[in-house]
Amino acid sequence: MDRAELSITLHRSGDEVVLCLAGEIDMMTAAQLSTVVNEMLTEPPPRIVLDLAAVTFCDSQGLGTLVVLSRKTSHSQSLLVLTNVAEFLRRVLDITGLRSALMIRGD
Amino acid sequence: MSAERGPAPTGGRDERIRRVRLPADPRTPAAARALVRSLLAEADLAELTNEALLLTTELSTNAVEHARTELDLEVVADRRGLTVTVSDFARGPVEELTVGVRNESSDIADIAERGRGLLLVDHFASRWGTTYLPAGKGIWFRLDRPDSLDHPGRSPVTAVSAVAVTGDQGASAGSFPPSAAAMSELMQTAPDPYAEDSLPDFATSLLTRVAEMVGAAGGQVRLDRGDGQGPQLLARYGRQPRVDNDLVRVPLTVHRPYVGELELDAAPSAYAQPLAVLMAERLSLHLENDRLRRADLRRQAWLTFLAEASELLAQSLDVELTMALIPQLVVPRLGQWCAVHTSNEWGRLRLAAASHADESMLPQLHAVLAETGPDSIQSRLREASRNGTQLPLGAPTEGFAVPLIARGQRLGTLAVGRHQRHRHDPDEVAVLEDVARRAALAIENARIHAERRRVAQALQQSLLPPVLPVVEGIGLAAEYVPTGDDADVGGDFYDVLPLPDGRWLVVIGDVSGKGVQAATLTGLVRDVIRTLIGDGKPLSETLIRLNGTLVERGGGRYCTLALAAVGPGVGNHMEVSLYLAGHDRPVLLTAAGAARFVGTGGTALGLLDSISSPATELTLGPGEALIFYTDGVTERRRGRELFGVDRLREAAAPLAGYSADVVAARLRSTALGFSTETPRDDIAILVLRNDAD
Repeated sequence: MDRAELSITLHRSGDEVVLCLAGEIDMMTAAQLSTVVNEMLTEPPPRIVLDLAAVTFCDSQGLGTLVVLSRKTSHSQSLLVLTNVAEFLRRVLDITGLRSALMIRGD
Repeated sequence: MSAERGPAPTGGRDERIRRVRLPADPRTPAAARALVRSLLAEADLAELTNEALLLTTELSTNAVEHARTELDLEVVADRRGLTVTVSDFARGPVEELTVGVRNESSDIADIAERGRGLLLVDHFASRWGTTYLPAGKGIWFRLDRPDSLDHPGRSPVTAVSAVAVTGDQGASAGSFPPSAAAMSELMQTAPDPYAEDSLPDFATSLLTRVAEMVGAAGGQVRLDRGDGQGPQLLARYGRQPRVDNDLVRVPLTVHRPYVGELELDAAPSAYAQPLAVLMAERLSLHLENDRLRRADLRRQAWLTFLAEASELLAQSLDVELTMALIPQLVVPRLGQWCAVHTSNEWGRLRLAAASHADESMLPQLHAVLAETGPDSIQSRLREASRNGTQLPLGAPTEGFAVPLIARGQRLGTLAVGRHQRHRHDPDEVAVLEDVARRAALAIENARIHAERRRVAQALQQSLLPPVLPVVEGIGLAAEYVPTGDDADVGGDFYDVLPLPDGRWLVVIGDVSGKGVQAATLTGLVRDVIRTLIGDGKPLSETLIRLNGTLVERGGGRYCTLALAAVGPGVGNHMEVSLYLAGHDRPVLLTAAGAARFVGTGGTALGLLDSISSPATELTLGPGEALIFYTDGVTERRRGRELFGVDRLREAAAPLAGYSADVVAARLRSTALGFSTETPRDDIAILVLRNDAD
């Protein structure tokens, strides 16, 4: 795989929208995630859940995108929640000090 | 890229290398990950995957976003780990690499979107750094396996910490010996022989080479020259070494007062330590050179200073002037302020002179110096004087108190305030003591000189009659000018005394030489004449007896004399019997203004066993005068020219008709005015005039 790929599938359950991400988040694919979430915010649901179970890679560009999206979501009176965060990504969040700033389900 | 200029050189048999050039494209980080992933699998380093992919992505993203040129990716894998270098082709220096700080806020609104790339590299990499290439620059990182033999138990990969640990996990590159080329480059690095101060550049280039060879993320060389400025950064490489890391620390082998240390942010692995020691030794050698050169320069400057100070002090033979001179010599060279105190025979100190580099501070200095009490400067000065040793002065007027001692005599103290910025170094303290010693000697010399001057003046005065007798009909006047060196006693003398037969005897003489011995001989001559004349001896016999005494007791010195016995003659004339014992002939000044030399030369006294002393009989008419003088007049110098007898006669002629006082005074001023030089010899003029109408 010479090209980062990210696929996003959308589920609605109750008052939250769950986005299941699969693949890698980097400078190439972060924009894709932004677009989907920004679209959701035109009619913001109470919660947007990012299910990261199938994310195999996330770099500092991905982290920056998560910060921006969290901020936008909270401005739109909604919440961005991360779930199924892999162990290595949790460490990266720890190192960068983002773990306490982002909403992580299962913490 | 050359191994020397990049990350830790590698060269094992198990090494696998991949190099690829990638475009400035958003897909590039993924491509770079793919390359790293495949090499990790091949090298059996799968445990490093998460970290390696993350860090490779961070570096390549950085290159794509900022350099916007193609980038070269080099991945080197070996048994122990992985080194990745990403270099670009952007011109110009590497932008300041800032490692972002860990976020501390839990409010999403406060959090920066960017700036985490290098924070992650810095956290996960065993070591990382920058490298400079002809065409551009690169950033590299090294990841070591957690079970790396050099660091059992230190694992950057498996350690899952609750809080982020900053700082690299100093694993080692210990198994990769430096290449011969790198070693030889390290040894060939030399300071620029023509540079003003080549040390910082030399230290920096040595440090850079060593840091690159051992793969240190940072390093520094600190040096304290012992000049009061504390440790200074001499050279620096990469980031600041972190205190909680394993560091290579090597003290520099330099001599006091220099102290220094080399610090490398690298694990003290198999060769990092010896390489650092090698570098420290090379640097130390040049630092020692620098220390000796600076010490030499400083000592030369101090020697010149001391020589100049000595010369100035030696020239001053005046006590007050010497005292005033000392603070001027000391401030500001040896301290901010200086005070000289003299002590009397009971040890009481009295301020003689003080100076401050800042003149507006002088009143305050005087106030502090006037303070009394157990902690005052005065009490410290007394202590220094009593103990005869230098003492430090405490805050707030920090400095030194040095006793002034010359020839075992306690003369006082020298107090010197510290410099504005730094304390006195040991050299300065030694110089200060030297100055104090020389100053004390100068003061003592000036005192001795003053004493000598007093003695000389007293002695000289005792040899000349305080006033000339007043004799009816005879005008008598004398002028005496001591030598320019007022500490010396001259050999000239004159006297006027009554003869038993009612006549008067006028005496003028010159004992050879100067000083105390000449003066005692002058006293002797004067007293022998007075005694013999008092006994009624005729003048010729007096001269013979005097000659005998001088030959016997004069110690090789001789004396010239003019004797004139003056008595009344026919009418208002005066009869004069003139004896010249080697003395210059006097000038006879007639009332009409004619001047001529009179008398017949005889033998000077004290040279030969027998003498001839012919008498010349003269008659002085009214208004006529005899002018006696010593060779201080005729040998008065202007450059190579002498005043001479002819000038004297010419100067005397217009004085006809004037009183003896006026004639003597005029001749004195003419002789003195002949030259601007101070008289080398003393001058005596005696005028005898027939005052009858």
